[in-house]
Amino acid sequence: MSARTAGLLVKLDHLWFLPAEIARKVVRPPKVSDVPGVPLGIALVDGRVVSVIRVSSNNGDLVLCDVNGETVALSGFEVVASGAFTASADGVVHEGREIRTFDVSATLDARRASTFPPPASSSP
Amino acid sequence: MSTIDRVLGNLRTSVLGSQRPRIRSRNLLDDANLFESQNRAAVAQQTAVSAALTVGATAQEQRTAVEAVAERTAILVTHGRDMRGAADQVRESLDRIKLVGLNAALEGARIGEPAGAALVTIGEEVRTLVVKALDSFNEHRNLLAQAETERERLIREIEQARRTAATLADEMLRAQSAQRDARDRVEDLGEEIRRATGTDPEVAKSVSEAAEHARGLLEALSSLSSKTQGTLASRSLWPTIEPLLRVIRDLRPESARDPGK
Repeated sequence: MSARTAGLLVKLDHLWFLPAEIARKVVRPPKVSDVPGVPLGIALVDGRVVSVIRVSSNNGDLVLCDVNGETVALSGFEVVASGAFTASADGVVHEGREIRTFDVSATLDARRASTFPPPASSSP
Repeated sequence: MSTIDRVLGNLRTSVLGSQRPRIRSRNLLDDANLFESQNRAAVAQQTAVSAALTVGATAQEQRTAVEAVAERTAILVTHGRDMRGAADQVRESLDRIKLVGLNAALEGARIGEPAGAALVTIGEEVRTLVVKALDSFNEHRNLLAQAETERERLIREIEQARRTAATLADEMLRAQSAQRDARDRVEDLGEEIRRATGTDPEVAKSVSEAAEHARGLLEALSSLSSKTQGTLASRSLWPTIEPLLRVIRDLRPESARDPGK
């Protein structure tokens, strides 16, 4: 019997898988405020201010994620399914198709890197 | 020449003479004809005024009816707006229920088998039902949008009908005013005829009626004279005709009287 893994199937340009270890829950999109000079937004969710990563300009539900102990919201996805899916090497298999895992941590790191580039290493 | 023939001759001269072109400046029969024409024009004008009033009242009723339709359409528009608001509420609720289903299935999967299986099943079922409900809702909303388009078209057409009804009512008021003016002009014309001819319309009317009766009498007597029993008929009619002859003789002008008869 194939291993099952919990998570969400979300649609962007194509389907992606968000594992349940990262995706906490789906909420109605609150008002997202832009932060000047930063490719991130902020929103008030369940009484807490969270960073919002806009993965597309679509208006969709907000997926609250837990990335290394930090709550981050993903905006611009369309959530198409949730539950337990057949695990594969790089994600899950859904209706016979391989669905890759969306790397939330890498996306967050990339956004932050573009805003706060690492200091140039100085030669001794 | 019998008496009847003489009477017929006199009547013929009198009646037929009035139909010939007159050299005289005035003739009461001509005046009577003028008054009669003026009177007919006045009656026709009065009929036209009455018709204009009736049409005007109908136009006003139509205008009122259009106003009532416009009011009902405005109510329809308000109901449509309320329905759209209610539909938005339904959409919002369905979206939230869909999230409940998604989160329940996610949570059930996170718990894992067997404890979370029921939650996953319920979540998936809820999501499936909500997706169907959203499809139906979208169809319903499309129908609402079509109804709204039709309502907007209806409003434009009613507005056009309202303008047309208002124009019609205004034009009918103008027509009524013109008809009343025409009626006054016809009455003025009667006054002008009376002043120009110096003839009392009642006298002219009596003369006209007398001439008409005289023509009828002439025709009847002419018919009798052609019958074989004309003499017998003359004897029977004489008691009636004799006083008539006296009256006719008295009415003749002095210049036309025959002193010997």
